[in-house]
Amino acid sequence: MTEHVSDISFDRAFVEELSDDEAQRVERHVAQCARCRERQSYLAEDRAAFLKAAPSFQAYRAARGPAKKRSLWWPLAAAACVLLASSQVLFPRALTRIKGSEQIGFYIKRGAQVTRGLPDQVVKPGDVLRFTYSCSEPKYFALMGRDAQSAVLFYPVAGQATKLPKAADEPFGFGIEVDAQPGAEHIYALFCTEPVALSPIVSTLDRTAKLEAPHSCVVRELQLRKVVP
Amino acid sequence: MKRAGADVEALYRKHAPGAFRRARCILRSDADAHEVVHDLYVWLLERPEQYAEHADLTGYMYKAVTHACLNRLRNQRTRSRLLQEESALSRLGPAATASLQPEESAALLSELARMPDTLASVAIYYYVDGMTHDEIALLLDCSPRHVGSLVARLQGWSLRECTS
Repeated sequence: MTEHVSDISFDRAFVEELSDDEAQRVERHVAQCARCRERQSYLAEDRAAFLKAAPSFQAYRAARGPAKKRSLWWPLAAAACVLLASSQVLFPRALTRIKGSEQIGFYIKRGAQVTRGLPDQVVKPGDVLRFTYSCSEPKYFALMGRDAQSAVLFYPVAGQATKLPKAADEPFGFGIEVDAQPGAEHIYALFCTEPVALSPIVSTLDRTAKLEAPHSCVVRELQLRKVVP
Repeated sequence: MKRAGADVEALYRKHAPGAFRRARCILRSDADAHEVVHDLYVWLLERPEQYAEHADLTGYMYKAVTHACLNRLRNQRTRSRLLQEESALSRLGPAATASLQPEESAALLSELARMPDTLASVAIYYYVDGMTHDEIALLLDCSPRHVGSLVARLQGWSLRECTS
């Protein structure tokens, strides 16, 4: 190994995810490279310090405290869902009337207020959006957005579209904070009958501002208008 | 059927230290990094099938943290803080200091939020994590040659932005 050992190789070594050959190559290189030895020591110490401060996720969660922005947001959205279920007069039931069972919608949290999102909704920086989905049978799902500058994958965080169970207006367990880039943002939801790799789709969307989804996917689109006061 | 929370505990002990280190390095804020790690693990707790399917968990966590940090960087408040910060290099990996002049690295990190997603990810993997083209190609599921062209594009971006 002539190149220095990268952090990802050290991280893989720490959790024993390197192959035997690769582990031996890392070991041999570190034995003769002062810079990599120093880096390995730093990473090991950093790792130990982190786990000493919070040895389990339970402890880590407790240390972060309950008053997180997203955990406050969730009960509000849930309450809104209950309202929706009990009285469809308060909010439009769906954003758009599209043939087919696959639908997405969203709620907006602005300050303490939660409202249902509407087509061509105006949103402001700091608003938090919580998306919902509906489908009559399990589907592989992905959610992404494209504004004037770039595309971003919202869900899942990486890899392939995630298989979701059938649901009606099911809220996702995450919120998306609106940034300060003004103008239109197109939100695309993919409902697919088979797993699809998302990286090429997001790259194309990023480069061309056009969504090229596989034939196995139904696409639902929303448009938001981001306004900076 | 969901897997038990114990699996997330194992994932935490193995990968949370590295996730925090990288998030702190990219965002240059302990508080922001903790929030990224916390939110990511809460998300994984709710959706264990996300990581259960992956053999390369380290690679998966690298991608997930990169994605979460880029989303956060696109938040205007985070960007403003980074642009005002002077000690941009204090927590960068060794590759950044070896490949770029200090002022170029600082400017590059501040530009991440404006870059297309793939290019920003490559910037993080290459400059912050010090990965080789082969390692980046493995994460992005593309050829090392394509990574090479992205790095060249990145260096062009860096020089252009730094001199403007």
